[in-house]
Amino acid sequence: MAQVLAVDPRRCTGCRTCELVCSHAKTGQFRPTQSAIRRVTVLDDLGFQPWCCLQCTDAECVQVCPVQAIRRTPEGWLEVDPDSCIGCSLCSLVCPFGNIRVIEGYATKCDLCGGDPLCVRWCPRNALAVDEAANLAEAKAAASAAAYRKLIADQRGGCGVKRVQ
Amino acid sequence: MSLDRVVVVGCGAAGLAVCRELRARGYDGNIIVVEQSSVPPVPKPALVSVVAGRLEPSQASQRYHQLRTLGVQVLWGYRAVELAHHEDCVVARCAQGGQVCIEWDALVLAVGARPVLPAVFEAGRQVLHLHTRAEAVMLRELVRRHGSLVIVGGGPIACKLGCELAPRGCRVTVISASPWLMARMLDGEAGYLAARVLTNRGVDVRLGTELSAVQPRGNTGAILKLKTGDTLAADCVVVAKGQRPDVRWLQDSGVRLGREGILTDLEMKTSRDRVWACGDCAEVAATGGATGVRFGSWSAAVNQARVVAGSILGLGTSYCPHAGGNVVTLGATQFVAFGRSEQRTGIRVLARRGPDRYARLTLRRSRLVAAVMVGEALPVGLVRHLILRGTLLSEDELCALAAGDLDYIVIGRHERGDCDV
Ligand SMILES: Cc1cc2nc3c(=O)[nH]c(=O)nc-3n(C[C@H](O)[C@H](O)[C@H](O)COP(=O)(O)OP(=O)(O)OC[C@H]3O[C@@H](n4cnc5c(N)ncnc54)[C@H](O)[C@@H]3O)c2cc1C
Ligand code: SF4
Ligand code: SF4
Repeated sequence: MAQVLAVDPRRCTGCRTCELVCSHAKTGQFRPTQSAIRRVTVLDDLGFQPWCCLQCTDAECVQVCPVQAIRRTPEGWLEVDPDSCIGCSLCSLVCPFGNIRVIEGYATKCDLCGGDPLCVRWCPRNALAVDEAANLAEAKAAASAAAYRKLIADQRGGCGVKRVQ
Repeated sequence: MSLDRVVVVGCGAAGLAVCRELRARGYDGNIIVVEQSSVPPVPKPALVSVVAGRLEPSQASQRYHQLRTLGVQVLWGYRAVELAHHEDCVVARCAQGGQVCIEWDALVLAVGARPVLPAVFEAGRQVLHLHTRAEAVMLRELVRRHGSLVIVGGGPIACKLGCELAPRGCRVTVISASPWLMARMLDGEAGYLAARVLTNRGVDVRLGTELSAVQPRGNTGAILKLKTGDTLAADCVVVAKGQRPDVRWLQDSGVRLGREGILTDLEMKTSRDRVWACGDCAEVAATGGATGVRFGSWSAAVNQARVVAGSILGLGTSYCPHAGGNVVTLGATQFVAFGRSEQRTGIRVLARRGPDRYARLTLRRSRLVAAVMVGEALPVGLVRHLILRGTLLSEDELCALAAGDLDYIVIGRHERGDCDV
């Protein structure tokens, strides 16, 4: 079963702890711009959203890599093999979410720290967790269904009777 | 029309991607690949790493293992030499003289491009290109002997090669007629930064000069005379002055040729029924004109291959020429270019942050249309995303992006459809 990083934007306060611990783990320096997880601002409501590799099923980065340096682990996440990576940046060019970057000549992305991500351990608000992709999809589908139900109920006045303004 | 057999000529970036996409989209017929190289080629972006000794050729060619699982039959060592005009059949020959005639229901031409040799070099004597596994292995030997190397050309290949080899003990000189490095991709300032990276790594960069004469020296070496009057002696000369498809064998085949390559429409269809072209050999003419544009990059080749697979299976896909962009990494510094920034009008933002960070972004009608960026760990994906999506940006946000401070713009203010690059 594929494991991914599950984020809860409602809990994120934008403190950037995740970026600090991640960049330190990946590069030995506290440089948020070199972190594999990014805290991004959602401009519409000025909230925050941790943004990170989705470990896609038919991943663009995997398909474009000329030397097959990005491989799926038996647990289901994608890792970059630094011995094979030639730093060509093609993966960073094609990832639709900008979730992989070339740092010091090698591609860097979230590899879930081998299954026990530091960002999850350090997030003060428990906005991050590791979960099965299928669970997340199910939760998202349930949330969408609930939103649609609410929308339909609102339009019908909540009880099948058309609401009169 | 039956679709029992798809024949693909060329097994580089585009050829292999066509096979993979056809299978991914459920095609279970016969796929036959004709490839002139007798062993799996080293993917071109990995050639410099092979020369530098960072990667073994066999490790670099790992991607070809998937051909077996995909159930693709490959004729290694066969070069396509003729496409019959009135029959659906392609003729291929091997080095030993054997010949096969392969019938097809759909034909994909993915033959790439060959290096250009300037007239000053007589018939290619004493010259290497960096296009094949054999050339990479020969150059690697030179690096092991710490020989001297002259690279003719100032494009990305010349820069990457110089940048990797000089710190490994080779004496490297890069000669380019252009006023700055990677002139087709970067603006002058970014090109100047590229030259500085190379110089700091010990490369002798000579810009704005050309060769006037070449004399052989020893087995592999040469003495080069420059138009400036200087003379250079080298154990080896590498010419990296562009590439052109070799499509002469298609001249009487009913496939229309453009200025340089095989003319296609946006569905990558050629003028001949059931024949497609993709990758470096394809000249895409969006409006059905007599000439088009060739996109000499790996990601363009892979994207076009996807379009070909979709089109063969009747899925009505088409190629988006705007999805491109170029990234070259020299040491830890990335050089990124989207769009043709020199030709763009609109608001320009220039940012210089520290000696090695530079950005030139062009905003038109509140949308990012072109970018040249230099720095470490650049947000390549974000820039591509903003351009492709046509996200509406304020000038302040553009400045923040140029300075490397812009977070993602996730929701809203995009999906304007077309883009200008
Ligand atoms: C040294 C080097 C480094 C590069 N680095 C990068 C990079 O970092 N990023 C990037 O985006 N692009 C890079 N490129 C460009 C990129 O590699 C090409 O754009 C890409 O390989 C094009 O793919 P293709 O399938 O069209 O052609 P190719 O990959 O060249 O494949 C064509 C294949 O067809 C075969 N062939 C040719 N003619 C025949 C015939 N008549 N019969 C049978 N087989 C035939 C050839 O042997 C070859 O294997 C680089 C190019 C070079 C030379
Ligand atoms: S890097 Fe991007 S394309 Fe690759 S798996 Fe992660 S999100 Fe998907
Ligand atoms: S940078 Fe590394 S992982 Fe990314 S495409 Fe190139 S070789 Fe593959």
